[in-house]
Amino acid sequence: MKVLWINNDGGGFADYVEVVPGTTVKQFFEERLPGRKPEDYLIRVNRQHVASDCALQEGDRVSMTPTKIEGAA
Amino acid sequence: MCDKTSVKVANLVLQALHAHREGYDPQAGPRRSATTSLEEVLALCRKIDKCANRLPLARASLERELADAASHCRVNLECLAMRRRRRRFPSMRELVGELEALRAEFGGWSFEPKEESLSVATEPVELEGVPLGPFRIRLDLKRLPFMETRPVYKVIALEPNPPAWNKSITHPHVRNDLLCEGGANSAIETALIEGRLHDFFLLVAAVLRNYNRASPFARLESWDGVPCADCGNVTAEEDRYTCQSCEQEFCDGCSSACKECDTVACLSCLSRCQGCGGSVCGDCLKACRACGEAYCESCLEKGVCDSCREDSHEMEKTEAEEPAA
Repeated sequence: MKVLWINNDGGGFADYVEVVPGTTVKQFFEERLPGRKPEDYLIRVNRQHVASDCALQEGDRVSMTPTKIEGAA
Repeated sequence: MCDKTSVKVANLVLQALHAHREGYDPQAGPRRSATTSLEEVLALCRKIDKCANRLPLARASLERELADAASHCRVNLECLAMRRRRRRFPSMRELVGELEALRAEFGGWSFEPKEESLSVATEPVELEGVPLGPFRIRLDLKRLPFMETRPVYKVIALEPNPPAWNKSITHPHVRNDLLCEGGANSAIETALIEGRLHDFFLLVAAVLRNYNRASPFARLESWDGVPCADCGNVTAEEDRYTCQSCEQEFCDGCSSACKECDTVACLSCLSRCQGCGGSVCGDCLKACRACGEAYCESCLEKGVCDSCREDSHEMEKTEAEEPAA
């Protein structure tokens, strides 16, 4: 199935990606951002807070935004 | 639930995005960024090749710079590729959904009809024990079509706590209400172009919640400033000087440099040369062997000041002219 993945870490790209049905939010995060900690990100499905064990559905919109980003001068 | 204001705001955003596309060159900005960052990577590679194995420390430092530059270049190249794809505008329903998400995330949003600005407020921000207060992030919808060339949003401190020495800085990365986005630059621009309002405000808030000590407008460590040990004026770190003699910190007006050795010292630790009047440190101040007055080395010749040398010549001349007794 396909979900819209918005990765706001880096370039901020949005794209449809293939996901195995039944994939949870936690699993999806680990696939897309391996080695990163979920607590360092705001993860929203269809713009809402969801539990990490929530299974994704066809057409879901999943965004991942770092909670802290380095500014500059 | 969809209210009239939400529909109005969504409509304005959609109009602005369409107007942006009319004048938008999808290649200009991203291509420039990608080219610049690629040139930086190549320049660093050339520098590393020059170092070879002769300068291991310099090479190690350059290799770290190269890793950062390469990462930045990758993001810019991806951005360039992404911009070539056909652009899709959000629907009205999606934009209203964005506004509902803002309400849930930030506890509400406000719209100023005259300015056509959309705002949210963050929670009070505190970084490394310095309270900076909450901030309003105000997006000017009228400016969205020109986002590549003009700032389209402001970050306004609601309970400002600027450094003692510069009122225009309200956050280490905010000056004159403008945020220096740093690592969030591409993501913020992309979110705005795609009408992802929720992501845009989240990204700006994420920068406000973080302190990048490598590149702030003002360092948190000296946010309260340090008073000059002489006059008491509070100054920025870069405007302070440490006296090499007494090791206290002074402002520009209460310190100077020795004219002989350029050592920085406070006005109390510097002395005046009796000859030229210049400021001289204790190490460079010498006593004339004849009169004992203090002079800089430039005003002494063989340890004797000009005045005593003249007196000595006069005496020799007078003795030479007197007839032998």
